Amino acid sequence: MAIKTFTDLTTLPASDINTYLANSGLVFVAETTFSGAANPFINGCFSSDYQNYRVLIDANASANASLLLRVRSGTNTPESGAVYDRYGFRVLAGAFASLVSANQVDMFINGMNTGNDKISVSMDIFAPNQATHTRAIVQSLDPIGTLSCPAYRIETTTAYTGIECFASGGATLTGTMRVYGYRQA
Amino acid sequence: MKPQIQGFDCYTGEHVNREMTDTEHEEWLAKIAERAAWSPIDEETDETPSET
Repeated sequence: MAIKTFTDLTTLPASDINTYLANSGLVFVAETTFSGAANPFINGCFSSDYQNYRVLIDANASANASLLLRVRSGTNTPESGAVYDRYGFRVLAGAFASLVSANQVDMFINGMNTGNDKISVSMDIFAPNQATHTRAIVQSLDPIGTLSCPAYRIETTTAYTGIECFASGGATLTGTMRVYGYRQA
Repeated sequence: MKPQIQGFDCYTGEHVNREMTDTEHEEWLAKIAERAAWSPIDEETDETPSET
């Protein structure tokens, strides 16, 4: 539906409202706020409701650590197989470094520390709940100014249902994670 | 103090917030050790805060 301009006393029929809702773009699905958590998660956020999703994460850690993600299947089972093929790069102080590496056991995102500046993560995840390779494209900024842009293809045809994050080295996480669905007509 | 288990379950519509059990803690430590052994974390950089 093209953008429609309403004026005072214009009738707004249910069909127009429904069309606007159907084409409304990102729709909030779920969130979790965590503090001192080992592996904060959202179960059941990926479903047939949407094909593609966006995941936003703000977090810091109890020690210097990497932020790592895994998708989940079933009710709450993390995908821990060596199935995450990684592409992309990171940039710190103008220096590029490749992130290309196949057969990872999780999705490395970027670094975290204990300071007030949290890691900021935006991840678009494609077709997680379909029986096809799930793909994820990430942009993230860490607290010391590292831009990390990894992309992942998960080499399974599992229909995933949820997501969890955790920190390397056993650090715990404090922050928020939100999931939105890309609505489509 | 053991870490917290925290998250949201869309199936039940409930937030989860509890301390790890001893068994869960042992399993979690083993997974972290396994992960570190499997893949040295060469992606990490010095994440010392530039300001406090």
